[in-house]
Amino acid sequence: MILFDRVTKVYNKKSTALDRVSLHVEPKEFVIVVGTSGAGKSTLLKLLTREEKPTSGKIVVGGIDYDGLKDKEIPRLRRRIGTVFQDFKLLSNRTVFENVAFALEIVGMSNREISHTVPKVLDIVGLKDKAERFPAELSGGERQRVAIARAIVRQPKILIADEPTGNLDPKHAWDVVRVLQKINRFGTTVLLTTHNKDIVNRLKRRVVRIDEGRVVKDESRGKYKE
Amino acid sequence: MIHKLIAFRRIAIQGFRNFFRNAWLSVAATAVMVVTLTIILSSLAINLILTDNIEDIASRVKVSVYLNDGVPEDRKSQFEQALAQSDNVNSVRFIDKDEAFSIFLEQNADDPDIISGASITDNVLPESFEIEVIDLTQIDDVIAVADQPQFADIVDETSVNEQRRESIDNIARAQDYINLASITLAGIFAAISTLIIFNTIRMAVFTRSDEIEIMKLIGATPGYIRGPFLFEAAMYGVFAGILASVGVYSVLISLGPRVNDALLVNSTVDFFAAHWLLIFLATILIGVIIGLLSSYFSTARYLKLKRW
Repeated sequence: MILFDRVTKVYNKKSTALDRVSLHVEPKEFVIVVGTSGAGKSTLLKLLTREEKPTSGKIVVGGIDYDGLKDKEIPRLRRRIGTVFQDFKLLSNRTVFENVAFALEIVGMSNREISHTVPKVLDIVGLKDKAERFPAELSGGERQRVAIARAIVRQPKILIADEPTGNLDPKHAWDVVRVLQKINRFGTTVLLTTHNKDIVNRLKRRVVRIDEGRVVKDESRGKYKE
Repeated sequence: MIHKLIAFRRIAIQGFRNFFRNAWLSVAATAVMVVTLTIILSSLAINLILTDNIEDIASRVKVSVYLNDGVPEDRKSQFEQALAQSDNVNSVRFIDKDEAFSIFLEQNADDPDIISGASITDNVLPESFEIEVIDLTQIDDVIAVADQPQFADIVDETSVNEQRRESIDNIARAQDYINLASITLAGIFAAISTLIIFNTIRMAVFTRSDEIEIMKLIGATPGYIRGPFLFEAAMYGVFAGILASVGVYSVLISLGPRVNDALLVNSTVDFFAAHWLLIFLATILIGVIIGLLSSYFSTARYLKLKRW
């Protein structure tokens, strides 16, 4: 599903964000990427969404080889990957319903289909009754669940979540993780980066540890180690 | 095709919603655009008013060709025809001795000494042709006709002496300068105010650059992201166009009767009244074009493909 083959990303000569990283993620896997701040976790995810281009190495996601990817094909690529960000990245002037619907509008889905699909997804993340609220009227946990709803509404094969619990208290953080687990059970490959030791240890999933831009550990049922 | 129609409809609806949801930004951008369009429209009105007034002054400047006494009728009509054939002549009017005397009395009505001394029986005033020219700067063309040798026996003199010629030249020059100045000023004001509206829209887009970034990350295409911004900016143009054209027209109508003694405004008001739909639509169109261009270039910075 996801293949990183000796991928290196250098921002400038003094800063190598990723150094020959190789990683293979199978379909339907739930992979947690851990590491200290600046270790290279976010860069790894930005390479997946093509916010950044690798300096060298090969990236293949869902059969798409990023080497031959043209700029104008990037929107189409991003539609195939659901993304959840630490800072939610919701459109502040749109309601919860409109934020989620936006992901479907851009792929040309009809209004009828959107009216049918969005409430179902909002139900999955527990926000069906808050469809007409604006992001500013929601708690942090609720905003992150809106972001998840938007990421999964197109039923992507891959969901990447960059520190989705970073701004949340433990209760809301677990709400978000439970939603991610539910999505993974439906068959979506989930790539989660987190600092949260408790979440990593209790999930008992594959853990990839990155340190100074390199994969230093890759365990199938890993634990968070300081 | 259906997908494109759906996308267009969504873009229009979103642009419409954004216009009202970002109410303060919309009010600010529309207000600046109203000023821009008012300046452009006022420049047109001022140009028309000044042109009318200068033309009015110019039309009052007439050349008189005085005739010798006892010129036969056939010679007079030959001369009149020769004058009328000049390209620069608008109208030719014959003034006989009696009419010349009446005009003389009228012009000197306030001076009883002159009136009492004059009598119709010893009327020494000559017959003349009064000529209205089209272009004051080319007045010599008309004089050249009177100076032709074939009319030497009937023409006594022309009224264009050096002093009067200088006045005529000054009026003609003023007419050219006012035209040039009003067009230049309108151009400068339009350019400055377009820059202001461009910057206002650029700031409006800048405040929403995060929104653009989010849309890019979710997978929206540049056209789909830009569309609502363009629609919103076009709405600034529509509202501003309506307000500016109604405002300028109202000022013209209300100001016209008050200043009409000092300035000729009626023909400009008539022009606006006769072409109100065209002016109304053209003002809206200018507003929409300025809005669209400003929005297009403002969003371009955030939609560069290399930044995707």
